[in-house]
Amino acid sequence: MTSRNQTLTSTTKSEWIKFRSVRSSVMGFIVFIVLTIGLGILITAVIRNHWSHSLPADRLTFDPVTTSLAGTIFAQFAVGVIGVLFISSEYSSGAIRTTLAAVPNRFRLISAKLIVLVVSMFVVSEIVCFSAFLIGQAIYRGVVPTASLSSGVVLRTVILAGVYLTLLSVLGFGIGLILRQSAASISTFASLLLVLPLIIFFLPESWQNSITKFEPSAIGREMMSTSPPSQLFGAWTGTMLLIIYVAVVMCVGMALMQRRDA
Amino acid sequence: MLKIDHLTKHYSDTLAVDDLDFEVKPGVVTGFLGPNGSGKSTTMRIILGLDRPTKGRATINGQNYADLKAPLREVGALLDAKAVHPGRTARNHLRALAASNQIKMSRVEEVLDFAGIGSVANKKVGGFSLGMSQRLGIAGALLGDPGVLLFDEPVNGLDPEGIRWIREFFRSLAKEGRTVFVSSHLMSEMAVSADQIIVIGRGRFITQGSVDDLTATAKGTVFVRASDAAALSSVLVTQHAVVEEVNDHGLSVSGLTSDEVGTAAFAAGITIFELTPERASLEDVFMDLTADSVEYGATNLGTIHDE
Repeated sequence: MTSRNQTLTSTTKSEWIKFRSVRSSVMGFIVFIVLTIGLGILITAVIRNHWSHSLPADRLTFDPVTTSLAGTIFAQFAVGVIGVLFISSEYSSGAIRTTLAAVPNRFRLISAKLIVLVVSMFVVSEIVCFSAFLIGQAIYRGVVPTASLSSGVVLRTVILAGVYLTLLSVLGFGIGLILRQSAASISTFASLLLVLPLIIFFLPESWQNSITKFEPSAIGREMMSTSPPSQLFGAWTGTMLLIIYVAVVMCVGMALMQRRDA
Repeated sequence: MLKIDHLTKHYSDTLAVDDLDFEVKPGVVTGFLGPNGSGKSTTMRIILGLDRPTKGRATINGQNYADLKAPLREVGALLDAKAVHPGRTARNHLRALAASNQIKMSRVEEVLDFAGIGSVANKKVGGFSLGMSQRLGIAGALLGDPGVLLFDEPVNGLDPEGIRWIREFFRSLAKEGRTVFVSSHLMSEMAVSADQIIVIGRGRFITQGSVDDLTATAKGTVFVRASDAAALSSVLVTQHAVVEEVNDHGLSVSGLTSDEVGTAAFAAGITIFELTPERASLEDVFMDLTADSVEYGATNLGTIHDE
């Protein structure tokens, strides 16, 4: 007979049931998939149609990988919201008390939620990013230069696009864990991606060049480009930096979770 | 068994629970009684490890809640019936709970039927009435077939039929040897559903005992109707009674037994027409016990009219 004690496996199983049984996560994934693939199709089709009129300079910097993944710029908000709601909805509904009564070990609870979020998000993100890439190249074929997954850099870029989206959803989750309110968490998440670049834009140009590469959305450009501009970090440095950001936010959230009353 | 051990809880500036210390024994229904805001829910939350006590601890069979290997198998609790994700169906809510404590999925169907919500199991919880939510909460509490059960104001939102059902349900749980701990702010409710009662007010322990114990300790009054009520009143006052005029010939006397009132009247040569000892009702006892500790008390109506 198996042990009837709680384990990380049993908690993860429970969180998986919870994750897939609410509309917010299901809808979030649908929006995410439609945005990324749909916008990818739209953008690559427009580029194909205008390719004959495009300037030589534009053709020189054209990146068939990045452009086919352009939908992720919008999708990053969808994945962030999925991450935020996975924890903040527990607090807004009061369900966290039922959850913690069933699983009093808070570290195990959050670990189980993270496993569910990271695994499901990574699988879906990679499928979506590879689909967007392949569809984009199919649309380009014959007119616009295309990229192939047989190239190591191209493969890396498509994989890192999925990693970027997964990390952003965890960032949303961490913010939700700290703030415990859906609206506040979602606006904070959006501000990090949208408002931070605006603030940096108003700084002196010399500062801009040294700061920009640290902001999350710039890290996204670093990770999803076959050849990032010289003033930005390389793809792997950017990935490491984003992992550190997410880890710090998660550690703060976990420390607060351990201390606060539910 | 549930043990509350010198429990104290401060929230930033309020003292919610003040050195509570008592035991809840198995086999009986124990009522946890106190006015609103007296610290009942806080105590329940601390028992479940949701809030951290400032001092002291609460243990279940000698263990902290957080140390239980599979808490739902040892403690079933219904704190807030609406504390479920509104977008999830009742069945999925229970399935998630069952999975977390390695409880068989067939048990979910059993408790759904037992609580009488089997027919709405696939409906979203957000659309449930308070009564249906209470039933879902009860189903969740029973999921792990636990030996200790906690219910915070379970009668709220139930219709009369549901109230009767839940009272019998508490009794049957206790009869099976389980520890049943039920909070309420209604003395009348506790009087019919609990065997033992623990009374608190402003976070402090006030008294504990069976329903009969509590009414016995309370001082009753004596109603007396006499030929000369005014004379009798002045005689009784000298014997340290508190006397209140009820009507022309009637007095309500507290602080003396009916025997003492009769003897005093005979000694003073006053004829007694009626002498009735009036036992305090449970409601009176409760009001009496918690009079000083009602946090949101209404002001005396008389003083409002005076202005």
